[in-house]
Amino acid sequence: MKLSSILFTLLLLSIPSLSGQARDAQRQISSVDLVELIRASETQYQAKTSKATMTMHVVKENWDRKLKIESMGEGRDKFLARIIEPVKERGTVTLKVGDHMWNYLPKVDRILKIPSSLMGDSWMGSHFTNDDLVKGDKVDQLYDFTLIKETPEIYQIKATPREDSAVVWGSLEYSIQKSPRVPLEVKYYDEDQELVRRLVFEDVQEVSGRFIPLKLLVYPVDEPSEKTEIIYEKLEFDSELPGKVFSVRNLKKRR
Amino acid sequence: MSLIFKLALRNLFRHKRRTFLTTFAMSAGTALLILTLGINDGFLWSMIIQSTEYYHGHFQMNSHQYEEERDFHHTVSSSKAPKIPQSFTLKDPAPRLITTMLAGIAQKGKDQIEKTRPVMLLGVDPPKEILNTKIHHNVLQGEFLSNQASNNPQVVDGIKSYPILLGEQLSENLEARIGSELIAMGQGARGSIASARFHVQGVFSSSDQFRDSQLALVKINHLQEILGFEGQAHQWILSTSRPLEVRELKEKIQELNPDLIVKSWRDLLPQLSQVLDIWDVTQLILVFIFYFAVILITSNTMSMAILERTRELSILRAIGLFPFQISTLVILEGFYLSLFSAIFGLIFGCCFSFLLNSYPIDLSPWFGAVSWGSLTIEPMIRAYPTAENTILPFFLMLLLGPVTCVIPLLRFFLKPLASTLGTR
Repeated sequence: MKLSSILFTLLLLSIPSLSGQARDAQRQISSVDLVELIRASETQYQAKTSKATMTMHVVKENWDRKLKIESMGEGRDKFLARIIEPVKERGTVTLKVGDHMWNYLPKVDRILKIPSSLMGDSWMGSHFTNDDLVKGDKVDQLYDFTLIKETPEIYQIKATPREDSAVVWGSLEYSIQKSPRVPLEVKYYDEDQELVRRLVFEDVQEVSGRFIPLKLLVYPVDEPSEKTEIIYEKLEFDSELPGKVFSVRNLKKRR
Repeated sequence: MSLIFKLALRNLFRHKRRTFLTTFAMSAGTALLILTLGINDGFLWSMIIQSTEYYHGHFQMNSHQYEEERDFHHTVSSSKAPKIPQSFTLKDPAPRLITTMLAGIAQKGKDQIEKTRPVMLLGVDPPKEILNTKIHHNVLQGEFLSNQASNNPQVVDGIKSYPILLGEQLSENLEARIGSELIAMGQGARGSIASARFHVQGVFSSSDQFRDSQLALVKINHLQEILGFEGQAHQWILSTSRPLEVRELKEKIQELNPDLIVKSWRDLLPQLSQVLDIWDVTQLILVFIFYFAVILITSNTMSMAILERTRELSILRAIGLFPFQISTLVILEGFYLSLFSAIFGLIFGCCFSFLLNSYPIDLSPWFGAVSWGSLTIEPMIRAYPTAENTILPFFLMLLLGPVTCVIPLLRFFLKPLASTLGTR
């Protein structure tokens, strides 16, 4: 066999491995970028510490209600929301630490742990679920990402759950604005890839040097007349929080 | 004519042993049939009672919207009862309020409840509920709810505590005891957050293990207060003393209440309804099998009786008795035999049935209750005697004796007199 034939054969054999390596390298680069994009999107309201006052307006077919909520957070794992208004429910607290969640009920002066079986249930009667609070900011750890569309203005990214992830959604679709880099919309699909709800971000403003949407709207697809609207009235980052605020024992003390 | 009656009676006593054995066989057949039908009905009734009267009632009435959407905001007034047709079989309807809450037992000295479960709270009006269901019969520990002052909310540390009854399995899962403090939270009216403190007043069984792992009973006025649904209910239930006639009653109730959706237990428990329909056919087959055996015994006895007396009957025919007089004599003998058997069978059958009704055979040491879908089968052999199941075997037995004489008689009359006269 001629030397040129041998070289040609070797070249042919090396093509698949070369192209595979190239694909892996490309995927790695893309995934790092996409993961960073999603992480930035999901943790936009978080910092070393964060403090906010918001109103939540829940519109259902048969009723609607407004809640004024004070919230505090520390990193990605700790979050606390306390109802200020209406007066009847003042002092009701939701505490999230890691993957666990508790509710403090001032009316009965007791703290109830939310079992994992009820993570899909509504949070405070809204269109958010308990799972959104616990796992919402861990999307980057639980899903794989694919860039499905890129325009000069936006990235469109699809998130599919990793095989070992215990999540409630079949897939997610993010639309992220390039400049300023803020999320515009997240679409939530069930296991059958049917669109279940849309989360829309509006009213982007600069807060502590960050561009943050101060209005969130959740639209359930099967109930077009319903929505949940969250408006941030006050938002602070890296401010000092009261000591042991994220402790279950202290929930009662901070009524 | 009275002579024929006397002759028929005397003929029976001419062969006392044969008459006794035949009467015994026919009586035993009748008694066993009454008992078997009673046991079958007992099994069926037990299933109907266990599946309907311990929770569902025989009718449920919901608003159209609640029925379609199951949104607990679609309520009806709990003070305005649905219209009920005039019928002595129907009772006063009972209102119910239903919700699901997250609940857990508070340990003494601890404010934090780690072990929580979803619980279905059923708000009931105790006196009306007692009229319509037998759930109060299955209180395993403690007391059923009542309108007495002891069932008013207790105030502990400035917080109201309401009485609650837990399903047996739920009580085990929550590790609750009588007097335990139960905390529940869920959604109230118009999206509000409802929370309440309860004290466990009792543990009950609704005859369905799966239901008992979720169900808890509270007074409807307490649940209305907790949820903010004052004067509201999600459904009305109604019971009848004739649960097998619900189809006709349902139509009447629906006509009177067009704003509600009326469902009978046949709609709520379609499996049980199908079992009932199959049961009717099974009963018929059972009656046929029993009667076939008794007919064989009786026919054989009557054939032998006529065959043995061929010469005697031929002499009667020869000395001038008309065929209809001979036939009457033989048929009367069959009738007397049937009458005695039917009376003895009825007495023994009823005695056994009532005995097995009062003292059922309890198989629970060997088998537990079987829950299948929404049906529950008790490990108990109990007879449920009904007029229908008693009268039917009695009258069938009365007919059997005379009817079984017809063929042997026909055979006798079809033979020439000369040939039958020579028979020994």
